[in-house]
Amino acid sequence: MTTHHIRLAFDLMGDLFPDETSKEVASYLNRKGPLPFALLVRDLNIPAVNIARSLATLAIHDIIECHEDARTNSKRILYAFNLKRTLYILHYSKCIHCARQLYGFDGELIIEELLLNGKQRMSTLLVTVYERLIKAGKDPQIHSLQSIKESFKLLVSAQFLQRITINETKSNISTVVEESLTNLVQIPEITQEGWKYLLSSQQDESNEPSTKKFKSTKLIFGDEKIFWKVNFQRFFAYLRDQELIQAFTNRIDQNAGEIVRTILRLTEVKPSPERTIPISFIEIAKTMATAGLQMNEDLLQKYINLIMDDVNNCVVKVGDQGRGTYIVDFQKALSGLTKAHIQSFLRERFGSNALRIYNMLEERGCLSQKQIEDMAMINAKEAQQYVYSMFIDGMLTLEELSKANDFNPTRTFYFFRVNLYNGVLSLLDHSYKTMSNLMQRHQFERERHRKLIDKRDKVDAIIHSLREQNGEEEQIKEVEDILSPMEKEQIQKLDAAFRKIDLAQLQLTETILLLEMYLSISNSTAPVQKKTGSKAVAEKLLETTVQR
Amino acid sequence: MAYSHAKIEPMETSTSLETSDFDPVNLESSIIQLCLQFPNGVSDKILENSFRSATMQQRVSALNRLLSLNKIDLLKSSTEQGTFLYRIRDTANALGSSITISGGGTTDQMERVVYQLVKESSNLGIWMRDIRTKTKLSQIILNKTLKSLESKKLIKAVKSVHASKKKVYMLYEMTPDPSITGGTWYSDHEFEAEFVRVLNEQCARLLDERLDESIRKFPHDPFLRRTSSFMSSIELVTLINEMGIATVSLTVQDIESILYTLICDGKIEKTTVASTTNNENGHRNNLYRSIKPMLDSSPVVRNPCGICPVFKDCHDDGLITPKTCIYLNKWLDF
Repeated sequence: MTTHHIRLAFDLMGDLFPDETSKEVASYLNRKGPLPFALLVRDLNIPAVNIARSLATLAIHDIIECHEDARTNSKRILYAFNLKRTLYILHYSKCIHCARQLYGFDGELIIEELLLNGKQRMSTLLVTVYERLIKAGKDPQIHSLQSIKESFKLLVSAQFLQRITINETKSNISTVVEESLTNLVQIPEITQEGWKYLLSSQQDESNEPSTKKFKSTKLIFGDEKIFWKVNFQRFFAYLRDQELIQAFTNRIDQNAGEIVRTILRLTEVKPSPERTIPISFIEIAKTMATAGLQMNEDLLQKYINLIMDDVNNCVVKVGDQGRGTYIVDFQKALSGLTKAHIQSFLRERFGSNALRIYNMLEERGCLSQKQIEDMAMINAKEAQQYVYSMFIDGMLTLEELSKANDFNPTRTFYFFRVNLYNGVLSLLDHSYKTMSNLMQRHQFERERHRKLIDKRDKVDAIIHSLREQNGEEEQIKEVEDILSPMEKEQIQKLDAAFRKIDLAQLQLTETILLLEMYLSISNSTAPVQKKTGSKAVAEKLLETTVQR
Repeated sequence: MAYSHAKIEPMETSTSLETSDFDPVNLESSIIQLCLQFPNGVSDKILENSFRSATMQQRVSALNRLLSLNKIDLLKSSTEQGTFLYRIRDTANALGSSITISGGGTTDQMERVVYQLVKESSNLGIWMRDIRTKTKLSQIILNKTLKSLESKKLIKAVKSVHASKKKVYMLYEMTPDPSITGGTWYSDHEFEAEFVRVLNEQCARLLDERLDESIRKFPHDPFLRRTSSFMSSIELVTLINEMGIATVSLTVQDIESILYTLICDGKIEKTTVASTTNNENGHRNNLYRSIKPMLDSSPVVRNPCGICPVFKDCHDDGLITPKTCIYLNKWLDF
């Protein structure tokens, strides 16, 4: 809830919803808390229609939540701004990429459509995806409606998509239906009419004019009341698993990574944020054999013993059924991974000596300045500098222990401690600000070279159309020469710069995801501090606003 | 008792006046011999009983002379209240007697007291303020005493490596305790960062070589790879001493503190196993092994903002903005 957090959220919203009204409405709601529609109309100088439209769009995306006003018991609807959900926009590209890796083009487009539209019915989704595939030039035989529907089914069964039904009585508030294991695939069956329409549109897609297809009455596809949306938690869990596998591969070797991947895949059946269900050794061996990874049982046992010793001991043996039962404890895994990120940050920013001090403090608990100087084998002055810069950045906390009743500085011990939670908070803030900075720079460069970029786009469009119409090579060359060589060079540099910024942003989202997951898991076990006085009241207020 | 004697004795001294001339010297040597017989101390009573011939005055003056010559010590008895013991002073410590004391009796007493305190602190030394509290002497007098003792080369001042203003005093021929001079890592009261760094790198290199070797030997068995990449601290000590990097021979403790810093750097890990041989650690063997990091670098530091020194001053509309940031310019080749 820091400035950078909010700033980033609005930057992201501005990207996705370029009209100014959404940003204004959202920022006003963020400042004032939940408000009813009437107040919004009164306070903002925007016509009510526009406000309503932007509220509707944002609500479909869950960025603005509607709930009933419980206090006054009236039937008014309050609109609240959901900051957390806005930041999920950061991870859109990663989610699409995951879908592409797991489910091919069909899956990728399904997820992309859903992300851009918030919630949709399956029927509309199938139609749009199909049309996009055809336009992109894919073979309609391979990517038929049936295949798209199959991908959709797979996505639902893997719980990447969530189902939503509309509550009849409160028709403007939707509730999410939790998909339990029993009613697993409640894919609505499209009615006969619907199928006929879709199939007919598939066959005569390019030739017939559109008048023939349009019927006077609206079509009923059979799933009017069932909407679907993307299940972000599931995607985040998948990304977290990928990070964990990568960590194990770095530490031990490729085979260890594969074993961990198998364990995690076997536990996807019932995902939970804290830990996985127990998996027995025999199951692991069987799955690995079917997956084609050749490993005899002895070797597998050796690897598992090694895995148990690594990455903060996150793979734990809980019993002996089936030759050993193992679970993955995500709390430990995430704290191990975030520790690695923080250590890398400290190493690059302050130097390896500072990292040494940090690790020493973590092992020993609390140390005074003098003790640090003695134990770290570093120059005393340097050690002091490192300790204080880390303290300013929030990685260390200071504890005062007084010998006397008054906190006389000469008679008090000052101990430094490592606080992982605070460190993660400050690193997360840092990442948010970096993300905003990168986005700003991207925007600025685009504005600065707008003319050049426009020119290049026009040239590209002309060339593309020429190639489609099989124009001559000479013509194409002429068009290309509109851009002088210096401009071409500039454009190339610009492209390279944009690519670099995008890559940096993408990698940064991985870190942000990891840090946020760590915070959410450890919120329940945040370090308890003595709370007295006005500071405690302020903290309590912050907690309640964060939870909202 | 003494008083009753005092009344009687004057009558006796008149009879033995002729022998009283020899008695002082004889008395002293006989007192000394008596003290030697009883190294734990001779009480007043015993002296009286042994030297009935001498008067109390003679005895008292003999004792005073012996005390001033520092041949005996005057102590208070703990067993009988109020009596005094005379104890022979250790001849090995007859240095006291070689003190050519000039300037009067009081200074030499103070010097002796100060000297005693310094001696007791053996190789840790004693701080001036502590001497002052113990002897309750004033600063000026204490300074003079210390100066005179120093000039006689009996005590010396040693500067502590931790607090450079603090001086402790100890006997001249004592070697200062390692806690004051700092030990292996300090030379001339300065921390040898370079030396420590070189040792650090050497140990890391040795462990890395061992890891590569183990990977080459066992490409298929991860467990054997792991066990064969361990090296014990004793092995490392012998190797480092053979390489001759250090002028002094290093102990296992020294190397373990260097290895501890390597653990904190995140480059190695440590295990402890029980050992059959009895070595310095006493039935425990510390094994070390080089490890690969979990993450080569965090994405947070892969862009210039992560290591920017003016990150906190960077704002949207200020002198330092991302739009004109020179670090970003350099990074993007603009």
